[in-house]
Amino acid sequence: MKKRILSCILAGFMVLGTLSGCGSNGSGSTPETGSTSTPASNSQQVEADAGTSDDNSPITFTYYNADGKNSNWDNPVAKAITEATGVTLEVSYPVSSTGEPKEDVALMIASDEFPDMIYAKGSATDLYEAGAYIDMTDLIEQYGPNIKKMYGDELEKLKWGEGDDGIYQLSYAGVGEKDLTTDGTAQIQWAVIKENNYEYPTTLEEFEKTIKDYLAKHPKTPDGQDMIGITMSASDWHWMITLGNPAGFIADAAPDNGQWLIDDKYNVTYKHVSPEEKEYFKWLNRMYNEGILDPNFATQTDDDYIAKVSSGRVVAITDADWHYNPCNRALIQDGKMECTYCGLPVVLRKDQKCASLLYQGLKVGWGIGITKSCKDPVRAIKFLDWLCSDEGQMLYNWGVKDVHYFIDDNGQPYRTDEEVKKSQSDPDYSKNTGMGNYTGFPIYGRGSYSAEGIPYTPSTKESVKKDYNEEEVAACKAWGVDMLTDIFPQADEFKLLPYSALWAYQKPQELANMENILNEIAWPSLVKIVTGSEADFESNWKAMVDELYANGLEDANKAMTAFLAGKIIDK
Amino acid sequence: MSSKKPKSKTKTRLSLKTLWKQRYLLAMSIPFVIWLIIFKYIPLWGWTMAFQDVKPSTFNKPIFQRQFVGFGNFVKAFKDRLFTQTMINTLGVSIIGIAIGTFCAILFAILLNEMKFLRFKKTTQTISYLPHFVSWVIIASIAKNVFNDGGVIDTLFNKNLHLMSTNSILIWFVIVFIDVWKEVGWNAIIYLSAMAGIDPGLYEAAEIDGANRFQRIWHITLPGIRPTIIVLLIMSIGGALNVGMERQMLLSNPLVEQHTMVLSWFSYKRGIGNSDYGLGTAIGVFQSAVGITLLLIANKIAGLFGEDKLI
Repeated sequence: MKKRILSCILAGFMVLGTLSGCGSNGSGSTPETGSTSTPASNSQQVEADAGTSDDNSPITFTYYNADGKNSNWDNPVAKAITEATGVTLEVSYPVSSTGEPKEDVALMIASDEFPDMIYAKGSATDLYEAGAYIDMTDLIEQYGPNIKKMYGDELEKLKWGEGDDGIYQLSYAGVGEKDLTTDGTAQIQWAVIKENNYEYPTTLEEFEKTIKDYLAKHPKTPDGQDMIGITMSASDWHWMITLGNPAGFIADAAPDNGQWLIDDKYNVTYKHVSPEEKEYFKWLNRMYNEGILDPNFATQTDDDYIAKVSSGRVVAITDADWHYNPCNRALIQDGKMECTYCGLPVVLRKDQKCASLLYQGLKVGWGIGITKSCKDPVRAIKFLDWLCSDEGQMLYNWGVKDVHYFIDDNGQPYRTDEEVKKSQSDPDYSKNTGMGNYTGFPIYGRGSYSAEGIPYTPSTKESVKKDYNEEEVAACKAWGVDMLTDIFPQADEFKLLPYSALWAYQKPQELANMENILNEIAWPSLVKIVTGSEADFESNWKAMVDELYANGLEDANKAMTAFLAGKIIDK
Repeated sequence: MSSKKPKSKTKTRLSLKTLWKQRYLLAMSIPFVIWLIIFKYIPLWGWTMAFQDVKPSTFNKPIFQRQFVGFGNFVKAFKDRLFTQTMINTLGVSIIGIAIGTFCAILFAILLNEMKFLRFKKTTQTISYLPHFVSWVIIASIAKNVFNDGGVIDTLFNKNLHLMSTNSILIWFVIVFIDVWKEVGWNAIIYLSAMAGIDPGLYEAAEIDGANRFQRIWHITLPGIRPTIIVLLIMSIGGALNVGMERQMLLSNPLVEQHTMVLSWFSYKRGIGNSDYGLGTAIGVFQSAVGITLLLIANKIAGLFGEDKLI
């Protein structure tokens, strides 16, 4: 009997391992699906449905949110949305440990079943190529007055491109966003700035000196832990945020175009081979060997990183605010206000201009789209249209009237101090209230106003100033500036660019693959370069550059330049 | 597999009469044969993807409308810059794993088997196979707390040992160590049950003849479980290339990735990561083909050494 069981196991065993990656192949046997939506069949459907779905009857849509952290639809804002539109969302989000939507999207494509609405971040190309999205152009024309109003002239930018004028996604990014705050290129604890009599570093050299001086004076935190100079999160995709991007911001003083640098003639080059970046990584390498850069930065997980930064042990970071904000909140909650971080315009050399405030226009390429699995695209577009309406925007950004915000005598919305404080210090604030909890929803940007002069978001110039914590108020006073952003080169000092941020554009698969290969080489190589001995720096750097060139760097540069050329808007 | 197996190797000729005689047995096996065909053989149809150019855009097309590229995907996989290193890693970590894993499991089983105090034995056994049921995500985060730079071990020796951040084959051993810790109790179960089948009379006779404990282990226990060891070894050699992806991914970091990349992960990276499903499938097919070849070779070798062949 045992032998039989064993042979059974064995037979299974032989076949089992072979099936990785091709588990579902129903496609071979299913007859051609008639449901593959073309724009034409969609518009027919639109007309057919036009008469019937002009109601707010309860309907449930599924929504996949690639930036989601929870699936909560039981909060005041969500309830109000349901009340106004009849729509209940069943939200799902990436479950993989890395937060990558790739796997989920691949599964959706394999099963040919999609959520009704999806915000897929960088995986939108896959969905597009699989024919998952429906073209929203006609729907917007017919049912989307508010969507048209919101995007205005920038509606053009939402078109897919590559010879396809369809609109498949709205944008996740704020429309008409003004940079009222900035995280700059590098961040340092307020305690350090304060101790330096509010002299802040603007070059890498000064940055280094500031950190070293502070470490020398304060080797340990008040509770006895060792202070850390700089730390990073480099063991998953966050390497791009803390290691890759700052290199471009600081060394090349470039705006955020992902892994690419764009010169005045719109030539695109892969950034990690520029001579400035070499200097930057040489600096990091030295910092690592001198013990200023956290010796564990390469192996710690992102959770470790967040915990470390939240503990107030880390003097300086090179990060993005959306990533370290939870740390700031935790620090405030622990009463360590002076350990929160101040964004700085650090660049490599004095003659460079920190591009943090450069306005890149509406980011397109990432956004919410309706899929062919959607039972009722008209209701879906109406739902999105409602979100774009002033009412929807107020609700999603400000919360419920008379609960989260109030209207003053001048008709202007305001929040109580208590509410403001809660929004800044409660890590679960958006989950529990629903405000800003469903990334991917179309939104107006910070600092934008409605036609009646009502601010769409709680962050206006006034509110931002009002929300400054004690440290920030003191800094403004010491620097003699109105806002913290005033220490940065201002937006009007830069030429207006005829293209959006390159990283957000959806790129064709071949191009994306070229970039993937380059990143795949750059990531471990850069970490190796930083953690290597100083004597090995030159050879390590050369090894990486050679490998990048051997794996299609030049082709990728050319292809990316050609791709960008197709995106440039003539003004 | 146990000692109850008849020594004689008389072969029953297949005839209608024997078929009729065993009709109940046959009937009982039919559901499993159907299960096998539906779940194990029909999906093999998906292998056609390995010979096609399958991207998200063509995924849902009927199979004959996709472009056939012959062995293009295989060539692409073999020419990939990661391929050679991936093969070396897969075989390396797998062989070390089989050797150390088998040794530890047998050792552990013997230790348990020699235990006189029954309740303690049972408790130990239960505790030892519990980690088998814990997912790799949890094991990996525990392991990282222990082995990572600045982790428990580093603190203990007050020295940075770089156990998980040295870009060398050291990481293979670290991974294997964690794997052994997780699986040793579970793997020992089958050896333990084989030991339970050994005739107690043999031990009594040996004791009377003056054999001490180690001699009894060496001359009775080990030969008694030899067929089991051989069968399990053959099976694990057949699965040598199926190194679990999640384990490798979760215990990896960019510093050591060069030495942790294994075939299944590579297939995932290229197949799902780059949305090139054809290429991913081709790597999977290659993995299976090598796996079956290894299995047949191991089986043959076992036969040459006069052991029972598995197939």
